[in-house]
Amino acid sequence: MERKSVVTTVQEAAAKIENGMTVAIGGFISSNIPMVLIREMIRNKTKNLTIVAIPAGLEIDLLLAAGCVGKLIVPYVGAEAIAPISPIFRQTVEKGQVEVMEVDSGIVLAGLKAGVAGLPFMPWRGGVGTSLPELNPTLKVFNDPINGEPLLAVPAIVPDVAFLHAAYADKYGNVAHYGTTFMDKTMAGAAETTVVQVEQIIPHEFVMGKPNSVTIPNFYVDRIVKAPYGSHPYASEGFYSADIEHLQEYLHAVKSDDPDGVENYLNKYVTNLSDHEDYLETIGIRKLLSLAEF
Amino acid sequence: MSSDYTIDELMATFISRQMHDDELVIVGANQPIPRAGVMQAYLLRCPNLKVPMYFYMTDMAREKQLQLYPLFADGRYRRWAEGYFTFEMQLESARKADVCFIGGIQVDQYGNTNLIGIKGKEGNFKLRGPGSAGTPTTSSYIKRYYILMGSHNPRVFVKRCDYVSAVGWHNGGADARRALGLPGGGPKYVISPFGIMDFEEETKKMRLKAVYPGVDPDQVVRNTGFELIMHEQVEVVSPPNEDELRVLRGRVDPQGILRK
Repeated sequence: MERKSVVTTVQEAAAKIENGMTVAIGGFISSNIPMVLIREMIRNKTKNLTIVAIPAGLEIDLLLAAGCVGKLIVPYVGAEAIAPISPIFRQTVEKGQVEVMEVDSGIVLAGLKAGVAGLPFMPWRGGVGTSLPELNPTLKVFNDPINGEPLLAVPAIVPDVAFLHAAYADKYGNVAHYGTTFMDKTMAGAAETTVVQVEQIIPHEFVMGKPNSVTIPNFYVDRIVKAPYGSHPYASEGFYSADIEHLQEYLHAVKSDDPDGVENYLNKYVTNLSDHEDYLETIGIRKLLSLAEF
Repeated sequence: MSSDYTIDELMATFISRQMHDDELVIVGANQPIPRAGVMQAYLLRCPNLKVPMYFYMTDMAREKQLQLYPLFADGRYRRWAEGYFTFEMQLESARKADVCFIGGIQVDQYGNTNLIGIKGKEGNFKLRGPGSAGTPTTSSYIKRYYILMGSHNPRVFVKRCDYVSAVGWHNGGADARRALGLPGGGPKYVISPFGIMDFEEETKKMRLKAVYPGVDPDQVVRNTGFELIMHEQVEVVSPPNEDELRVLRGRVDPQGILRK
């Protein structure tokens, strides 16, 4: 019997996402964000998702603006100096239109680690004495049975699906990041199903004999999707830097006097396009090639 | 001495002077001033400083010119990399780090900071902040941290934060952090565009320690939304000297991000 390939299409991977599911998004603020899978979820008009991310960026804005999100478990949403607070995130939360589970990055990590280990909760210290337990009642303050110190019990986070972006994978789901791996491995371990979009699908021979190059072993990985330039407008480690002009175009559209600014952006770059190839054509080859890291 | 410098350059230089050789210094996202200050310290006085940039451990001494990239998660920091780590490692080993920098949309008289938001009516936010990021975890463990505020006025320097994302000296008192079981050393200084505040030893109330050249201590007091204690002798921060400016402009910030 022949060994199975886990390579699939974006469409098939995103179709697994049902309304109300919990989706973890890998990467870090402006690098290695699985934008191809995110744009496909938006095109599918998926509703009432719980989104888990470590510091996140404007992709949260797009998901909110498209009406996909019911709950956020995210410790930061912004684009640093370019947008200290993501504008749609800010508006939506201020209007009370989305539930925010107040967390910090360490608390997300603790919840995911409990998820990996099959534990009901993980103890964590960061957040003791802050407003987080008051704003997020799922965090329980307790006295640890060893030293009697106050700690937080962080309930397990078990995403239905983790969407990640990495540099390489072979067709059997051996994933290799180029450089750092953010919190991706823990997300993959915690999730029921993990889909990794990659810049390149590499021959299986490339990982044979170099097992240390594999950053997420394939027992944490269910599906691989080929997605060159798949983190655009964000960076992809080893391939390209963030497209700051494009991020500014987005912010300009949102902050302009036109109340349909974000709609116009979504139409132009997501909903009116049929697939990732269409998106890359819209961005243009000259722009894409100008984003080299070096 | 030079009188030709910006406040951002002065703040970076002050930060640089706080660094000790061999320390592990964490610089977070959207912190160009601390990033520049730490690089300046490393190149001028502290060749054994451990300085992660993004998730890379760096060896920057070999570089003629460094750069302050506009986004934290920029793979170009890998040019100076001698090793890498993961975000899990940074959060799990916060106790190993010596120094970091924490911002806020509010800071209160006990050095608690707020990145969550400003209270509105009926439990809603008047202003939703970006979120706590990693500050609750890092501030719990790190040996000392500096609170960096981009503006100094009564709306930002408040008696009590609407929400607390990083605990400083909680409700006050030298024992405040021990009572919460927080092993870290807490906030050392608050650095604002006017000057430097520390915390009075007994009460841990914020106290004006030093001002920048040309800033009147009364101006700082007027722009603080609580009773700011004064040191008996408020110092004046000395401007960047020639060496400090040369390294800052020539090697750390050739693009002049701190001069804009």
